[in-house]
Amino acid sequence: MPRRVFHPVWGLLALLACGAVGLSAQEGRTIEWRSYAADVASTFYSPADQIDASNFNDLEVAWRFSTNNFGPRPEVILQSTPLMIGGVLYSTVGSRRAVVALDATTGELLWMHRLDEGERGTAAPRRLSGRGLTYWEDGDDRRILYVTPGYRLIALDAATGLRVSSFGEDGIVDLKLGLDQDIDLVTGEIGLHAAPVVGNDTIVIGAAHLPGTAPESRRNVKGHVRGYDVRTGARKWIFHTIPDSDEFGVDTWLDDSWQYTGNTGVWAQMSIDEELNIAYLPTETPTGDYYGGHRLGDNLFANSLVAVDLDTGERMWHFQISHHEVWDWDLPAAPILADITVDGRDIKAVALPTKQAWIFVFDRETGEPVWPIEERPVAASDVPGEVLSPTQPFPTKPPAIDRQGIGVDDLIDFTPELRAAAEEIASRYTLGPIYTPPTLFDPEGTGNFGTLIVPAATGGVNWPGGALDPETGILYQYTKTEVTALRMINDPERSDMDYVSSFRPRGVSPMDLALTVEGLPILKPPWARITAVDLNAGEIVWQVPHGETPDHVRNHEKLQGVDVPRTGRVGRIGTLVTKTLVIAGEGGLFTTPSGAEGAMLRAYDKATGAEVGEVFMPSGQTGTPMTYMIDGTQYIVLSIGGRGRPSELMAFRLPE
Amino acid sequence: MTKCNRIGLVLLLLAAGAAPAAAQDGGWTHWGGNAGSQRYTAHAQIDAGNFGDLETAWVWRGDNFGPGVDYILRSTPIYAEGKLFTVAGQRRTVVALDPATGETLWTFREPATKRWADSMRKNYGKGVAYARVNGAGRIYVVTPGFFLHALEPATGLPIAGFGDGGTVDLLADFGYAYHPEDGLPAEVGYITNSSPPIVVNGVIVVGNSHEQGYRQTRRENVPGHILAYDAATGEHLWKFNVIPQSESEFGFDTWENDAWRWTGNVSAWAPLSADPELNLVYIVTDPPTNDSWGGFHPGQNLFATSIIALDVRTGERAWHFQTVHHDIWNYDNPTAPNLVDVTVDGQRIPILVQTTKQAFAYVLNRETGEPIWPIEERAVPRGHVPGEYYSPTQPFPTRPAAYEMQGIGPDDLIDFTPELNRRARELLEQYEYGPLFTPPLHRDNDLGKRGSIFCPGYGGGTNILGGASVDPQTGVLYVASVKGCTTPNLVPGAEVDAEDPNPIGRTVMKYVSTTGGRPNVEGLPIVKPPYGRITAIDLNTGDTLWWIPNGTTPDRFANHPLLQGVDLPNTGQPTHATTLLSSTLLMYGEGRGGRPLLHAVDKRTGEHLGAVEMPAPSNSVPMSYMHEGRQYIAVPIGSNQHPGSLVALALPD
Repeated sequence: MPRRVFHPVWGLLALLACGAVGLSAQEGRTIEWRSYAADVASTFYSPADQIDASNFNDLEVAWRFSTNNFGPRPEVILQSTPLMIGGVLYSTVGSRRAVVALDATTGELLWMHRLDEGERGTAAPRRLSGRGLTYWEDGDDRRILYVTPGYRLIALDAATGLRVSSFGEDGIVDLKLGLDQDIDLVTGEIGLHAAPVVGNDTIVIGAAHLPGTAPESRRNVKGHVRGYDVRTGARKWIFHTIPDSDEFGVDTWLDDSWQYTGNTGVWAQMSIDEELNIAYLPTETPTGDYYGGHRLGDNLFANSLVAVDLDTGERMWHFQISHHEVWDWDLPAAPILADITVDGRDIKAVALPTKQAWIFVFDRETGEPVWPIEERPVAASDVPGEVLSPTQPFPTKPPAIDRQGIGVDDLIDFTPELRAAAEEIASRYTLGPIYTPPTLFDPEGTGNFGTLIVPAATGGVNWPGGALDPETGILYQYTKTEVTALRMINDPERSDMDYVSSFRPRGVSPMDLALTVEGLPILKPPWARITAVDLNAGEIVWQVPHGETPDHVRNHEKLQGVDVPRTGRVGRIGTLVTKTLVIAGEGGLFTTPSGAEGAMLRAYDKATGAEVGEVFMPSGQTGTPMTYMIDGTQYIVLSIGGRGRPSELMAFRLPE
Repeated sequence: MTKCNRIGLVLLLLAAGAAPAAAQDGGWTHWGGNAGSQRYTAHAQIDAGNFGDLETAWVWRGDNFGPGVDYILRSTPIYAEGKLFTVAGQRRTVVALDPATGETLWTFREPATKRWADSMRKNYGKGVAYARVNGAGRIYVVTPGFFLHALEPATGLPIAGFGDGGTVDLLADFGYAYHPEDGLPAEVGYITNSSPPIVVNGVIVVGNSHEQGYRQTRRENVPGHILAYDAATGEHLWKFNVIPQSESEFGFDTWENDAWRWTGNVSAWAPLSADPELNLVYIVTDPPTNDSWGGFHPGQNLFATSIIALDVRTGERAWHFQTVHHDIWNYDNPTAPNLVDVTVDGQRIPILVQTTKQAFAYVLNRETGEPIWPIEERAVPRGHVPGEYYSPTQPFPTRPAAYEMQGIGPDDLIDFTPELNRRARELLEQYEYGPLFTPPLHRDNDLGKRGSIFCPGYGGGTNILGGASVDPQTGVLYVASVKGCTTPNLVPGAEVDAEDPNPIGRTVMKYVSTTGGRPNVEGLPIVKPPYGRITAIDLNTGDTLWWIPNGTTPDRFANHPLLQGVDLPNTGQPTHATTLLSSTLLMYGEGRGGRPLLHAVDKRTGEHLGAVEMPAPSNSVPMSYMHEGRQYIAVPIGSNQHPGSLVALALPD
């Protein structure tokens, strides 16, 4: 007699189990990737060692996953770093920020989750696919959590992709509520594209806004940080990144500017020390990235590393990386937790890479700098109404890992003619050391086109952050070397702020604003590099340019006969560290050695920085690589894409 | 993008005859457009005047719906409740798409079982069925593992009250002992599915498919019995035995020994059609076990290679028509029958037309099964295979005329040059050849031949990848066909069985068909062109109106060294054109292996109006829908280089 045993519940469970069962049945080694940055210490480290210097060039495409149809239109800047748990790879994808679960060995779609947020999604300040998601488990209760473009926290059953009905309201917590502010649920300018982070059953949620070059108003939503019970979705705490009237730091906002000033969120990845029960929050600049005349004072807790109690949100310590920030050098990247030994003393440290190209290192229990951080005088502003901090913190160790400030010596000198042209451009601008302030745009009067800052407003370091080898305490960080022009204008039509910055002021030809000479950047190369910093010694171990010289430079007619060493290529590049390698792809495209246009995924000996392998990718890296091992086979997966090359996840493995 | 040839006269004619545009959203509720499988769209926003302006609205990628990238997409989407629903990949994942953007809205994936893994039709999924039950819509899919699932259109979640939590195990009602996860024991048989079910008046009717019959080395298998379920509850309603299982069942006596006991196949792998008003579902079947050897099942073998009309309420046979008796040519009925009403000799008649591999269109009264024009039993050649049973006659429609070459003889061979003709003749003479229904021949025969050659071959004539559209306004049928031949080579079953790692059944057959190769002259077909075409047949009169080649001559023929200096006619692509009809246009893709073009033709004259580019050639039947006032044409595409995908074309916004 036939039996009827097929049952959808069994079936839905089997969605995941088919992967997991296969694993337990095999002898091979399995290494998972359970958090956006490998772990909540944000190391981007995996002990996987099958792929090494001897075989990296043999890597083959294991599978590719097209993200084209996970939104109303294809996306080209997928920034996700997926998770891999139990043979299943999880990622946010597409212009709708759908969540997908894939068979990690084949890329087959197992399930997807999608929320159509309508107008609220369209109005979101941080749309597209986001950077990833969070995994949490307690026994059989296994959850995937993520934040939608419209700022909802959603908990999904990791096996089925169905919302966890006991979490929030049918699996959803509306993050536009409980913000200690009244904001419009549809248009209120707040969201998040970073992956949430979870530790000790508390999920910590940051906040992101529209880019703040020229905000319409000095008033905006405040980017407070909150902790939620990962089981129920109940808010456990809120940390006011801009203090209330009776809170510590309110006196750093003169003229009651704490009342209306917003932003100051945490759009970067956060980290957690579960043992210390502390969450580490790297905050951003208050409203108005380049003008602080409406928010005088040091502006706590803007641009600060804040350590809060994971259960209560209570501030344990903080350190403000830049006071009264007006360079858009907000904190972009995850603080990296590192256990190091300095002068024989074991320190539980936290290392914070910054746009300014410094690595700030603190004792993560106490907030004490591991090496002295000095307050040094910096220049004052000539922009009316602006009052800058007279000093800024300068770490004495480790040294900056990229160029800081700009002078004539930093301009290209491939040929005297090119140098002269670069000098001509630079002569229209205010130059100076780091923290040279933004200046007024006055081409007709003073002739000043603004201030050139290096690192650029986008860093130095940006959101991908760094990676850490926990075995050696060496931190690996990609930085790019670019220049930004900060020119302040008064534009009442655009903003109720007295001054905003303008990348392209009206009435000026873009040609006159270009910071390039015949297509070449005015700054000397390298334009991108990876630096290894020994956190035990506070010293640079090695530094290499990352990325092949761009085609337009290699083929530049003015550079024929000029020896241009590898320049590196600019991107938003994150690095992965394994047992032996530092792995990172290139941003953008060039004509690869095979003649095909593409980008290379490169591997460096993590001890020496020597490049030991490269493998072709059809487009550039847009999300930090991750790795995992299933049944004895190591995979490397990363997000790639670019204009005209819709985003995909690409998986590599060695030939069978 | 090729622009339409804007021929003034044509446009005037079209404008005069144009039906008012159907502005309402919708337009494609079944695999074949409607229950009658007409593959006709009433929407007329896209017409001869603007066809050339069509552009890609979106591309939906089918890469990641199975353990490997699939280069085939055989599914035609349906449109319902403002969404598109289709299946993709080896897992036959059900997907819902935004019709305006191609965004994936949800997916449903059946968990892996051995039943799934064993399926030999995993990536042949042709789509899903939609029906409204008690005021709510449902999506139904039958999977490679032979489960029937009912899903909510809005979410893709299983319908709790249907079957067991949304799922019916079709093997439970099939009548054979089986293992729930592993399926039927191999010695008993094998069953899977490729086509969507059809829902008629609250009843789901499910067809099935088997291992490709030319591969099977053993005689036992299960027949492809038809199953029916209550669309609301999933309750099993009836089963129709496609091979009678008892003396009381009609057709039992067409199995002259006890072969009904062990013979299988006779599956309805093509999609189904239905007439809800008549309460009839139309099922078309394939040959019994082993496509080319039937010596162990003498007799006419009902209901193999037949058209069967069943009462959907009871599963009782209303009528049947066997298109091939004792079929040993693999002339399975390859596509859903087209239903249309026509006027014959002044009388309005509901008809069914079945296009076939053998290139006959069988036209029957769909209420009674009576032929509209006489279908004569004519004597056919007897073969020479020891032990085979040969039906002395086969049914020959007197109207319409066959629409593709039938049989083969010296006059059919290419004669572009005397040299080519000589070489083609040499090849032909290696085989036994003759008229339609020349049977397969065994190796080591007394004729000294390599085997036999018969045309059309296994692939048709007409086959599932092309098929036919029928015009409800005019009663004209548009059928795609290719000119193909097969050279089956019957060899002792034991030879092949020894190489089969997973044989089905127990008893090795005396003969098994292996391919005898496709005779060609340095890659050129030995027969005259056209190699692929579309034929228009007026079903009111049975007259052939016109035919056109499918696309244009492939480069490999046009540039062939042996044809240099030859004034080559348009040979057409040797592929199955995929047609879509509208009130004014016949649109078609060239089919798998053709060029990546969608063509438009004046449906009355066959005149070519234009073509637009697609990312890859059409891979299956296209469809059209109106969504928020914009008409789209969705075409399943794929090639050996391009993963199976779906492209939607629309006029510029």
